[in-house]
Formats: sequence, structure tokens, C-alpha cells
Amino acid sequence: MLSFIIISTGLIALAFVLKPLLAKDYIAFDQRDEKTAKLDALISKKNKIYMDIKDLDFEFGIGKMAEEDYRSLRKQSMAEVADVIRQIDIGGGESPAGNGKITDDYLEKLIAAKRKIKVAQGEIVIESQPAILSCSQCGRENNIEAKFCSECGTKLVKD
Amino acid sequence: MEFLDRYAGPIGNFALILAIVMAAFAVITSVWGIRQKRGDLIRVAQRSVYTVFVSVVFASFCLIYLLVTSNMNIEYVASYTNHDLPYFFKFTFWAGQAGSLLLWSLLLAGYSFAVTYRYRNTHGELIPYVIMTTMISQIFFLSLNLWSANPFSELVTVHGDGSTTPFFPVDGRGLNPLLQHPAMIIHPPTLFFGYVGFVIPFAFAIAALLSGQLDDQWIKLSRRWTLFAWLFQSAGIMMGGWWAYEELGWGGYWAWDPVENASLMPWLTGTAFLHSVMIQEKKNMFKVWNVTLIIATYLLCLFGTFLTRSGVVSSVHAFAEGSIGIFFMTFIIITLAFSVALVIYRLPQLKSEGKLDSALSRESSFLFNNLVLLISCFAVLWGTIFPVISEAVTGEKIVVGAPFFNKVNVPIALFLLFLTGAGPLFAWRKTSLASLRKAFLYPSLIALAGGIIVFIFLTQHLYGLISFTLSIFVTAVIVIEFVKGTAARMHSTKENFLIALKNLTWKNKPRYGGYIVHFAMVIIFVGITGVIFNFETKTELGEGQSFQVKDYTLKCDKIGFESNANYESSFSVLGVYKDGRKVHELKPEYRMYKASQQPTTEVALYKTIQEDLYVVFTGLDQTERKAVLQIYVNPLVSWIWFGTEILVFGTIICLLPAYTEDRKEVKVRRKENIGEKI
Repeated sequence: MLSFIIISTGLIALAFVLKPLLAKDYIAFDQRDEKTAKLDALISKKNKIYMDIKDLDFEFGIGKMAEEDYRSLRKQSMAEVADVIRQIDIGGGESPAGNGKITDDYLEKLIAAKRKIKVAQGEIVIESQPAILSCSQCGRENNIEAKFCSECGTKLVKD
Repeated sequence: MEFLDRYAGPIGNFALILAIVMAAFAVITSVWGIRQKRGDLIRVAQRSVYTVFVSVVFASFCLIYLLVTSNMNIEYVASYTNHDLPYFFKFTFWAGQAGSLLLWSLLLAGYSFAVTYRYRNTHGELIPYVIMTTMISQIFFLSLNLWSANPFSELVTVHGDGSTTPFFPVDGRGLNPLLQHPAMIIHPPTLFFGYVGFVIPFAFAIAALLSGQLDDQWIKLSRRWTLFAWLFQSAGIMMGGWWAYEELGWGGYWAWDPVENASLMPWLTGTAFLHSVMIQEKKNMFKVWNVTLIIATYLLCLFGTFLTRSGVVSSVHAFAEGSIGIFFMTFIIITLAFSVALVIYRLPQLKSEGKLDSALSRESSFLFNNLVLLISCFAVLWGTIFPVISEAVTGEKIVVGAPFFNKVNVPIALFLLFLTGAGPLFAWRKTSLASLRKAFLYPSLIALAGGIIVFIFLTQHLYGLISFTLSIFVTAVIVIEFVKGTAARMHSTKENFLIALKNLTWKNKPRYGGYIVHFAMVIIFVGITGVIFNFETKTELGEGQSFQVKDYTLKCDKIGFESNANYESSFSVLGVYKDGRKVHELKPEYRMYKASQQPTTEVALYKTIQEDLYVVFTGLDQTERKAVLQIYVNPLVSWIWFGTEILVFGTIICLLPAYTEDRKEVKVRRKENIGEKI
């Protein structure tokens, strides 16, 4: 009787534990990859700076901090957070070291990142047709809407 | 039932074996799963943890069943109970070595289960390592349960031919009378909840080190687990003091006993950790420091259990001695070596990202408080292990007594009390001298005025004076912090005072909950400082005689005897009179427990907010039929217990979930990220 109970309990426990191995469509385990980790870190950094700013305001408000310190620290934090937000916007890419200012590099990356997401979500349709029309005479690339080549004046024909 | 009576022991034993097998299984599958990035193996590991928990719970029930049914064939039952022991105490299966180790296993399994279940679908980069770490500890404790201190081993008679038959003693040896106190039911589990609880932040730290995910993720995830453990550690220590005060009958609550020290040390490092993680959360600094602190805290927890359980030091807690010392020491050393190696391996990635804006800031005051807490911890550690070391080296056992600990720790504690007040006056990041002067002005003036009043009317005792003055200082700081914050809030939101106060606390629970805990520490300090006014005397009283102690008159109304199945007692009934009015009746007792043949005294207490009247019946003068009484007047002791209640309240506020933007935003970003991958 005792050994029966022991053996059957052991088997039930084993079956319970091993069951996930049988299931083919087990739920994928949430593991953050490097990129997500980087984003997480950025988001947490951003909120950290926000908290910092909140604390600064609060401590200045109750008179714990000198105005001069308050202004300079706040300015510094605002510049920092602006950079972090930009890094988040472009999907955690390289730091656009703008020191609080917007750079061309950042804008390019931002557009690329946003575009990628929109494409993935199906909001932007990438046209399979090339957007240009080459001139059969001189080879000049013209706008798809153009009727004559802007270089040699040859009539353009769509294939 | 007959089946259970016969087989509860073997079944319990089997449950422990199943648990250890499953724990080993969890270790293997979690590591394998994360290395191979196989979710199915991680699921197996999770289910193994659940099975470990169920098995250990089941084993504990088996032991309780054996104890409650007084199955004297089981060695543990016969050693720690007897038939007439009240049921109340039979449930407390942690009185002896084997049982208390089972309690460790049980709580550890509980914590592991909770963490595994809580994060079953998230944080896959850390949790498998957390499972691995907790389950390795689990294997260690279960193997002690199985092979070194098995609560289910049966008593047998060995016959001449080598065969054995079960042996049933007529009655057990009974529970140590000192343990027959209500505090004993809750003190050990509470303290163990603390000790064991630190395994969770430790496991998260190890997981962060192993996985290389060294941002503040592990700190965020483990913050509330740490606070939870800290809460129980604090409450457990205080309950231990309460038990010592009411049961040991020497008039005090803390004796710098090695085991008391053992519970204090992880509390000190744990407190340091709770403060320094805030710097990492805010500034990404002190990464090495934080992992080191939590590793030290966990090791000190193990060390504390080792001290209690191995009998290497003589102690009031030498309730359970055994041969497990060597296993414990080995496990502690392996854990230490592994953790240190891991920290060194990750050292390059543990560099600080931030920097201190200024030496005069909240951050640097935290660093200071950390150092002081650690110095205190080291002093306690040194005093505790010095007798052991000196015995090993010189062969002579030197006792390090309370005077050493008081001499070293009282100044440190007072300095900490000062920091408790001074810290909040510093602003985060940077404080100019001018604003610091402004912040210190009012609290200092209030403290100075208070100090002068204390000096004139209360005491000229140096440490007493400093302690009271600092207590006033810290209280002033905390009150001003609350008032200023509330006023600022009232100004900006137009709320009334009470609503603004509530919302202020609610919107920043860690900060204001922390202040409440600080205030609790002040109350506890005041209570402890009462020791400088302690008064002690001795007298013999016959029936009808009375005696004057300070403001009280004790009148002995009766000397009597009682007997029940558990013990025989002699007692006296004393009327307590103050200003000619009867305010209380005390019944101090002297008990002789039948099963264990051990005597105890039952202290009688008259507690008020100002002082405790503490009467011990130390014996009976047979010839003259007089009660021999030891009488103490201990001022302010109630403040300690009251302070503890405030501490619990403040910590619970810190524990309530804080509102953060992080979680929501991470979710949104992840969705976008997944969208990107399609």
C-alpha cells in the first residue's frame, strides 16, 4: 500500500513536471534581446531623469536647494532627457550627441525608424514599380509623371 | 487514520526526497533552458519548483500530524514534546534542529514558488537563473533535512541478532520551558521569513551577474522582495527581544548574545542595501557595492542560521545543537567563493555610469550611512566570532561581553541616529552650504532647546543626553519635511491639510514611508535610552507584607501553589499601589516543568507608557514562607514595542506598489518592436 502510494505519487509528479516537453506549441518564453534591453535601459533612464527633475522642482519648492543650483541642474537634466528621448525615438540607435539640439543625422534616423514601423504595420505601401522613368535616348532618369525627357526632349513611353 | 499513524513518517520522508529530486531537476532544466533558449525546458523548471513547494508543504503537514498525535516512535516528537504539552505548542514544529531546518526549507520553497509564479511569463533573461540560485539553496537545506537532521527518523530497539523493532517511549522529553511562550510561536517564523527572504534579492543579483543584464532591472524587480524580507527581519528581531524580556527574566531584552547578533548583522547590511539601491536606481552608480551588499547580507543570514544551529558559540539559543556545522561552513564558503568570483568576472561591466554631482548631496549622505552601518556590522561580527577564533588560535575561550558591544556600538548607533536626521536635509544631487544652513537651522534650534530641557529636568548622563537631543532633532526634521511638503502641495493643488498630507505620502511612498520608518527608529531609540534610568532591587515578602519600590508599593496578598499536567508552580499575588490607589495586580510564578524537569520563572509585568514594573519570583523561602522577588523598574520599554509597530506600518507604506510609467511604456515599445520584426 505504502509503496503503491509512493510510486504513483512520484509518477504523477514526474508527468506534471515533464508535460511542457510534449506540447509542441508551448508559449514562447519572454526573453529580452539585446535591442529590447537597450530600449528598456533607455526608457528607464528617461524616467529616472524625469524623477530627478520632479525631485529638483520639489526640493526647490520647499526651499532645500539654492536657486542657482536648481536652474543649472534643471537645464542639464532637460538637455540629457531630450537626448535620451531622441535615442528612444530612433529605436535605441547610436547616441545623436546633440547636446539637447536636433541634428540632421537624428532627423534622418528618426524618419527611417518611423518609416520602418509604419511599413511593418502596413500603413505605408511600398510600390513595386520604380518611381522613375528612364529616357530611351540619353538615359536620363525622369519623374514618373513626365511626358518628355527633361534632357533631350524625347517622348517618354511607359513600359 | 491507522494507515497515517503508521506511515506519516515514511510518507513525509518520501515527500522530502521527491522535493530534493525536483529541486535538482529545476536547477538542471533552468540552466539548460536558458542556454538553449528553450521555453519548454524553462516551463519544466517552473513546474519543478511548484512540485518542490507542494512536497515540502506536505512534509511539514506530516510532521505536524506526528506531533499533534504524539507519535512517540518518531525521535523528533519524543525529543521536543510530551503527551500533556498544550496543542498550541505542538503545532510549532520548529522547536528543534530538524524542525527549524524544515521551516527554512518550507519558507525557501514558498518564496521560490512565489517568485517563479509571479514572473512565470516575463523576464526570461533573469528568472531561470533566479530559479537556479534558490533551488541550489533548497537542495542544501533539504539534504540537511534528509541526512543530517531528519525530523522523520524513527526510534528503534536493536536486538542481539541485529534485527530492529520500532521503539515507543512512554512519553517524550517535553518542550524546553523557555520556548513555551506565545512569542515562540511567531518569533522564529517571523525571523526566518526575514532570513530566508533575503535569498530572493540575492538570487536576482546572481541572476544579473550570470546573465550579464547588469542594469537596474534586477534591483527594480527585487526591491519589494527585499523590503518584505527586511520588514520580517526587523519584526523578528524585535519579537526576539520581547520574548527575552518576558521569558528569560533578567530584566532586559537584548544581551548581545551571539544569536541575537546573528540576526542583527544581516539587518544592518540589509538596511545599508535598501539605502544604496536608491542611488543605483537614480544614478546608475554603486553597482559593485550593491551586489556586494546583498551577497554579504545573504551570507550573514546563512551564517546566522549556522550560529544558531551548530552550537559553535554558547548562547541562550543553544536549543538545538548538532553536527551540521561543517556542512553549513562548507556551503557558506562555496557560496562566498562563487559569488566573489562572479563579481570579479563582471567587474568591467559593473562600472558606474553616473557621477556624484556634489559631495554635499543626499547621495553622499547615503554613502556615509552605508559605511557607518557596515562598520557597526563589522564590530558586531568581530565581537561575535572573536571567542571562536581565539579559542581556535590560543585554545582559550575569551568571552566578549555586553560592555564591549555597548562601548563600540552605542556611539555608532548615535551617529546613525544623527544621519537619520541629517540625511533628509540634503537635497538630491547638490546642496549649497547656504541652503544647508537654512535647512539645519530650525531642527537644530528645536533640538538645542529640547536638549537643555532634558539636561535640566531629566538626565546629565552623556549618551542619554545625546540620544534624547538627537531624537528631538530627527523628529523635528521629519515633521518639518512633512509640513513643508504638505504646504507646497496645498499651495499648488488647493487641497486641505489632511488631503494634501495623504496625497503627498501616497504619491511618493518610498520617501514618506521611509520617513515614517525613521520616526519609528527614533521611538525605538528613546525606548532603548530608557535603560540609563533602570532600577533594580531584591526583597523577600511574606503574606500581608509590603515593600516600596520607587513610586510603587507592592503588597503581597497571597503565596500559593498550583499544579497541572504540564508543570507545578509556586506563585505570589502582589497588589500594586501608586499614590495610595491600587493600580494593578501581579502574579509572578516559579514553574517546574514535569516532562523536562526544568524550572522557569514567569515574569509579572505592569506596563505603562513611562515605565515597566517587572517582578520575578526567583524562589520560595520555605522556612519563613516568603517569596523571594527580584524587582526591576525599566523606564520607556513600551516605546520599543510601540516603535516597532510604527516601523511595520511605515514599511508597509513603502511596500505598496508605486506608480511608475516604466512598465506601461516598456509594453508599448515592445509591441512596436515586435511590429518591426514582422
